Amino acid sequence: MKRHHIPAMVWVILGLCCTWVHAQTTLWVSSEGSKLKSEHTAVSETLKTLPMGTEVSVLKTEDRWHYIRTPSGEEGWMYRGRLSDSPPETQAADEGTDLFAGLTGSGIQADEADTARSIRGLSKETETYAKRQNTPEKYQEALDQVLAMRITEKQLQAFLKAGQIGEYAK
Amino acid sequence: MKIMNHGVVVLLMLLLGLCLSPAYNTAALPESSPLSSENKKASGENRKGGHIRITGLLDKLMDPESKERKLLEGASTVLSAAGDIDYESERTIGESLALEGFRRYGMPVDNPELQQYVNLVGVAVARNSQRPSIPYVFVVVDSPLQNAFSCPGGIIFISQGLLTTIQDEAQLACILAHEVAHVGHKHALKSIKRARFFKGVGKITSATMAGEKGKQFESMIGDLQNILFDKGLDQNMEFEADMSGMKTAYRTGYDPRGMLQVLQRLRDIEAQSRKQGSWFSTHPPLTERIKKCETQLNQYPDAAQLTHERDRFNARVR
Repeated sequence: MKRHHIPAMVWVILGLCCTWVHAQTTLWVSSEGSKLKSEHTAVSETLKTLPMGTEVSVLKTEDRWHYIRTPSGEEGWMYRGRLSDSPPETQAADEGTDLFAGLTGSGIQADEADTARSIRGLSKETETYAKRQNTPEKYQEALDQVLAMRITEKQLQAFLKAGQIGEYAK
Repeated sequence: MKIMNHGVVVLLMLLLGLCLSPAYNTAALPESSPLSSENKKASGENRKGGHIRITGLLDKLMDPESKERKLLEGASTVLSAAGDIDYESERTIGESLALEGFRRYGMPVDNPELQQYVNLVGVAVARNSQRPSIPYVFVVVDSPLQNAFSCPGGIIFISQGLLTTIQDEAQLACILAHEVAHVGHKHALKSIKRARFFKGVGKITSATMAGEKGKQFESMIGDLQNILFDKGLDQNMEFEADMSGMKTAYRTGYDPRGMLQVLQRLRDIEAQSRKQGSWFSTHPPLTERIKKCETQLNQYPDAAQLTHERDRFNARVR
């Protein structure tokens, strides 16, 4: 009886080991605008911007940076915060409303991309709600202004750099 | 339709699983178990009975007039309504709630530099959150109450009262990341998943804002106000947002201990603070949250080396 159990246990242990190794070396790009860099510094050359959900292999780690390889064989450095140990949630409902939609191949320059590109004024339905509720005009105008707030990629990078945050840390 | 079919399939699998599971479990008992012989005998009967029950159940499910079929249809409608409305509809719910947020907590603080600063911190964390693919906006409202809340779709409020209670940018990042996590996990939407408005509605349109449906929509926004402004979300949702918020802040490069420090600060001032409509009434007991956050910090051994940015925070907020 025990003899039968030994091979099974070996397979289970091997399986667990393989799973562990896989978990240790495979990560997913999980942030918008994640850049593959030539060195492990934010100011080094950007080789490519990888789309969210890209599965990558980690070849080595230095400081807070991983040296990774993409499925198409490209290699470079990426800040650890842009990667996670599980695939990011992507939903069909979110298509077309990317936070930095311009960064991932739409042809819009990163500096021009903004965080609120798809936010417009109040929706028709919200206006209907406001009318039915007799919502004061000043609240509608306030919300319109809030929704119009724009943060560009360039502003964000300058902000992170000035604060030495994330990949800009020294 | 696709969603409905998935709901039906999942429910069928669950029902089948429930029918089969007692037989499977008892059969797995070892021979030496004192309960095994009786249970195995029973399990054989269960297996036979299970097949009969499944056949009977399937027959009933095929009958459109049966109680079981109606129960299944009702349940699958709720399932499709709970988490699968499109982003535009989610946004409409969020915008309507945001209008009520201004009514309840006051107008945006008239300080464009402050508003931009909070948006920069908010967007920095949102892009590293579990749902980075939607646009987020952040607004500081002129209220002395210590509070922050998020509307579905990504409109996030923080009160001037809470902003002046905290001490650095990492703490602000943790609060905003906590609110972003509520949006990512769709906590508010899950709290109203059984609202009558959702019955038969997959997308909010002009038609669904009129007549009886319009009244149901208003009632649902009323329920959301009650949850987010007074009663608070489910405690487990708050704990989940704390954990996700810390992770997001850490990934961005902020010290996740900021979350713990905010909670400790709020605990220190709780006795002399107004509870109604604030984080004190809408969030779980601080001691329990602090304890959970302390445990979570083990995940971030280099947390102390990450950014706090106290100087910039003081320059923009004080």
